[in-house]
Amino acid sequence: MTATQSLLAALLAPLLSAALITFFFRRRGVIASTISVVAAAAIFIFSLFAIREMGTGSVVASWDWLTFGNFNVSMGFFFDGTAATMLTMVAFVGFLIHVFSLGYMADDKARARFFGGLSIFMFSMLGIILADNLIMIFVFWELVGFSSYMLIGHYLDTEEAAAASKKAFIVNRIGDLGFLVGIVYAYWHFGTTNISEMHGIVAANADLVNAVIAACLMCGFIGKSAQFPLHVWLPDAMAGPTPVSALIHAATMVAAGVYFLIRIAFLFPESVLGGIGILGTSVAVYAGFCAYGQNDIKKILAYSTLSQLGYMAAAFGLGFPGIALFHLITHAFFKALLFLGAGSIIHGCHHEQDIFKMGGIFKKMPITSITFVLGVLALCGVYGFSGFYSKDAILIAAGLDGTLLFFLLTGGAFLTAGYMGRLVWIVFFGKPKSDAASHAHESGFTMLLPLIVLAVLSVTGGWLQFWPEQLGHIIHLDEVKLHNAAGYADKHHLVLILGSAAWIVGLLGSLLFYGKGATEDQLEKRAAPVYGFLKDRLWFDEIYGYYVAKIQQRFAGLLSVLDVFVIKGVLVRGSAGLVGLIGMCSKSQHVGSIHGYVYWFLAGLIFFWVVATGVLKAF
Amino acid sequence: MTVGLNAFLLVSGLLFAIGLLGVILRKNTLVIYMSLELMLNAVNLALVAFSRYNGTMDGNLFVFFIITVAAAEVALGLAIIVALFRRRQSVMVDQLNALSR
Amino acid sequence: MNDLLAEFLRGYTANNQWAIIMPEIMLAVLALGLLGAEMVLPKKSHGLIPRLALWGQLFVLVVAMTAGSYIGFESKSYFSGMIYQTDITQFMRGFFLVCSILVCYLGHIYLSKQQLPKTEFYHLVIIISAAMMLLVQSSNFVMLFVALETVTVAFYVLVAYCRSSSLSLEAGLKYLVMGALSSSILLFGIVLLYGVAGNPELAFNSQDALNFDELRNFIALNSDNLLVRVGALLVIAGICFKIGAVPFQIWVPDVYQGSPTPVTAYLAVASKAAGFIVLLQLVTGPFMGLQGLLVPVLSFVAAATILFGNFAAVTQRNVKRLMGLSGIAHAGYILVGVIAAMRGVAWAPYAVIFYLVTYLLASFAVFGVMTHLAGSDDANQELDDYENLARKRPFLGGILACGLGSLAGIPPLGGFIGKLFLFVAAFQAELFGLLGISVLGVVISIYYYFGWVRECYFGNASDEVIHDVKAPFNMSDRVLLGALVVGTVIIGIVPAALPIIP
Repeated sequence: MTATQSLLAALLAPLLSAALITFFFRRRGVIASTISVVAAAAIFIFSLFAIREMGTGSVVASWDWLTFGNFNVSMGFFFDGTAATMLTMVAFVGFLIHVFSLGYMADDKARARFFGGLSIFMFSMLGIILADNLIMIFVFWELVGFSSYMLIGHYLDTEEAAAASKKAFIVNRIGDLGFLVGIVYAYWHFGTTNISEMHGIVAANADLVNAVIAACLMCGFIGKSAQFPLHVWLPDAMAGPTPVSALIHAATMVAAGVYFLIRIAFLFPESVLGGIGILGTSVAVYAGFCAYGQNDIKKILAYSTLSQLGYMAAAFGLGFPGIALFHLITHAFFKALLFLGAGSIIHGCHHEQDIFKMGGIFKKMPITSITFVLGVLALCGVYGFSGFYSKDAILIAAGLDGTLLFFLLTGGAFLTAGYMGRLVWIVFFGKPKSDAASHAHESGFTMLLPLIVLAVLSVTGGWLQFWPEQLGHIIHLDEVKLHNAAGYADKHHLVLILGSAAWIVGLLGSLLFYGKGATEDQLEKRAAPVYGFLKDRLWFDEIYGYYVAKIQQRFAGLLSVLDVFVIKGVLVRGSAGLVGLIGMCSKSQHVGSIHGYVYWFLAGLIFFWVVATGVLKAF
Repeated sequence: MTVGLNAFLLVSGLLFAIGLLGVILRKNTLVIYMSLELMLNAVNLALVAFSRYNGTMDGNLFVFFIITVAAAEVALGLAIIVALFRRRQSVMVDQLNALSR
Repeated sequence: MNDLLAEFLRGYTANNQWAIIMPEIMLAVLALGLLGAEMVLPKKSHGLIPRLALWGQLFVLVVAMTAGSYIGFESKSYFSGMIYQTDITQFMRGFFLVCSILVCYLGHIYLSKQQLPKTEFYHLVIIISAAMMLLVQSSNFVMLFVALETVTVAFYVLVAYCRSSSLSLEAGLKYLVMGALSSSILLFGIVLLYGVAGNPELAFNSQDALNFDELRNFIALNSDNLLVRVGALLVIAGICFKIGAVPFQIWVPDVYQGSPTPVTAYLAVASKAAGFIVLLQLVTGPFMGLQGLLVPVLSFVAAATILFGNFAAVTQRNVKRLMGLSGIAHAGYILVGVIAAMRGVAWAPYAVIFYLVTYLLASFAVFGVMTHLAGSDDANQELDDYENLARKRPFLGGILACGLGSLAGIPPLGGFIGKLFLFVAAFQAELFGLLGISVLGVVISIYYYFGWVRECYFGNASDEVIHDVKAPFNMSDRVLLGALVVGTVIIGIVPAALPIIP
């Protein structure tokens, strides 16, 4: 089996699975889920085959898809080290999440639809990874959006899910519009949309790099990776089933935006890169703050995802696409783990999602809890865990670039540790705060196995030296670039200190702040010295209350006014109203009387006559 | 005295215009229908005249086809109008506007 | 004596041009055979007639498609310039046959809900199919007129077919008056062209002034002649009526609403397609010399058509009118392709045909669902009737969503590729204004198409039964509708599956 054949097989396996499920097994949940899981396993196996066959080179294959006149669109694979890394991650994490879903969705009536959707998603995701040109990427990009839309709205009967899926769909369309314009412009500019051909053109003549194209293509990334100002859909998308959140809205699809940027990194001039860096940093910090205001365990993780996507964007913007990819991969491991862990908890707590109604989970669900905590440590960047290596590299890159981004991103790391600590202390320790939590039970084997595997990867995923050579190539390159940069050693130490301080301060601070008397004795004992220091909680509460009531609420109010009046009122309602008005006018032309219609004919005849006699020569 | 081509065309054009005006102005569908036939006959007249003055025969031949088609149309149109009259008890244009908007 | 006859026949068959219109002849025989069968067969076996019609047409389809592939077809003129066959006309034969087969099938469903004579329906559908094939092959205005009128007159009957419904009759009357009016306009244009092209005083006058080739040569040198310009525009006006282009579109919603749903589908797809092929052949044939006149006119018409169709459809609640109005918008997109063809994009005609195919698949999927869901009161199908369709009848809901999605141009459905081809053709022809208007139109169309899908999928939950008659839904319906959707998807993913674009 050649590499191309393996890739084709990997791409078509989930499509076949989706087709089988749609046409034959819509009502047979068990068969459908088995088929889907087998397809996911097949993807992984075929991917490994392909990578083994590929060696250290890259695989390029293409077929004509549309040919008309001198315009030719081809479909093809461009499978290099970056794609191989991404493919391995998606295939593996995807497979684990499929397995997890077996247990999580066991009681769902519409299981077949769910697994069919997962298969379609895997198919379209692989398409994005393998695509060799922008048009093909766009096609699969839309497919990914569609399957995401379908899966978010899986729980059809909840209002929330319907609204969330609609929101995701619409918001993504906005980004895609820019993307589409970018593709057309790129075709016009370069005469091709093939990635390697464009790379060749740009490499030959660096003046051809165009900021407008880059900015337009960036719009696609902003939509899919939920960056400001199109970030609004991601937290709402948590209305979907938890495995979907893990697969699509944490590990793979939202990261596809970053992956896309990495693929076309050569198209980006300094100016746009700087913009992406600032954008990513601001999202990283902003989402970190937002996470503190959430009580829903999945929404906290969603904001955390936003924040980490911001880190990836920042790394890319700083000119280190390899580091962005590195963080993408490690993030996929630990964030998938966290979401699946959250899923396991939610499943155990009978679909309770409010963290303040949980508590004491550690005793009831030990394995889930241990793996979850490992994930949290990885996310916070504890030394030796996977998250440490990637975040460390990003912070160093930021440090080399300038103070502001470095300051903000480091602050983001403190925030991250803080809200994750808050989550951990409230959920896992103390006493159960609701019936659901007190009756929590450990999940079954199919759900625990992925957790354990992902936990191992969350710890070890960052040890680059153990990665297969062709996978880590681009990351190695950027690491080396980073190591050789001037001032690396200073920054390295600074980041090491600050990064460690971040997770220690964050985790402990949250313990002191949130994990007060209601929790176990031991915790109170540990917290006592600092706890006494901060005894006067009212003071904080007042500031917090003042901030919430006077600043945040007003700001939010202002935003919502803008939202209501400008976006909904003027843009949406206005254009809809205009369309409706013209529609009413044109509708009113259909009077029903033959005479009324003959006048139209007469008008047409007069129009044609006038044109024919040349009165309208001006046209 | 010979009558020129333009005279025929003038009459033909007038007939066509009268037919069109009839379609626009008359309220009775039967009369509208006759006006439509008038327009077809205006065309026939022009065809025959052109055929004569250009010295080609296909215009004359075309006329036969048009007459045949017109006959078919008339038969059909009357059938529809009669059927409609049975349902609605009216053939007036302003009352035949159940399908609108 | 026998030898003499045999020799005569042999001599005749040696140059037998009738063979090239064999599919049309077979269809005519089939249509007459149906009437004969109704007379001969005992009443209880009249159920055979629809089957005879369907299988007969399938047989003709096989004959027509195996007799000569349209790919690499050699264009040739027959019957002393009456008929001119090209790869396009060859392909359109199959197109019209598929349409008429589908209409017969839907008609069978429709007629099972009505107390109406049945055989004539199939008869007329098949006659129309044959006439449309001849219409697109004609290269002489006499031929064109006769074929066109055969189509139109038969459509008058079909539109008014439901004699028990005053709405159907009213639609028939409206179509009749408008159609007759447009026929006279078309004829007047033809006559002007005939008269001026046969005028011995003008350069390049012709003795065969109704023939397309002769006309092309004449018009190329006399493009400033007023009568030529007026005549050509009147002919275009007549064709614009057929395709439902502004300002001759106004009859569309009323007639679409009143006619039986299968007939609406036939009008929307086949009749419109025939009109477009004729228009294509006229503007790239006899009227080639008039580009300076026709391109601006048709551009205005196309822009107005796209905007009118889409805007008027936005507030429409009756689904048949909605399909009519959105069909107007589709006519506008296709007109853009026609204009691109006029501006010299060689593959634009094929883009038009590709679009027509995707339009056929998607429209028949939607009309098929409508036929299934319609009660005995066929003219009143409102959007509200589709509330929660996906929950009550998920299969039909899925088919409808795919059909509407393809009409709206959502990838990966065929409609997307069809629009893409047209828009790229427009881009290459540098019709940027029209391209912008088309994209705007597509955006608006998504609104109302998805409004319909929303009714099906996200309506308020209610359990009331909406329709008094529910057609029994059997395996063949499932296969047919499923095949339409699968075809749409396949074309959308692998456009090369439909090898039209050279």
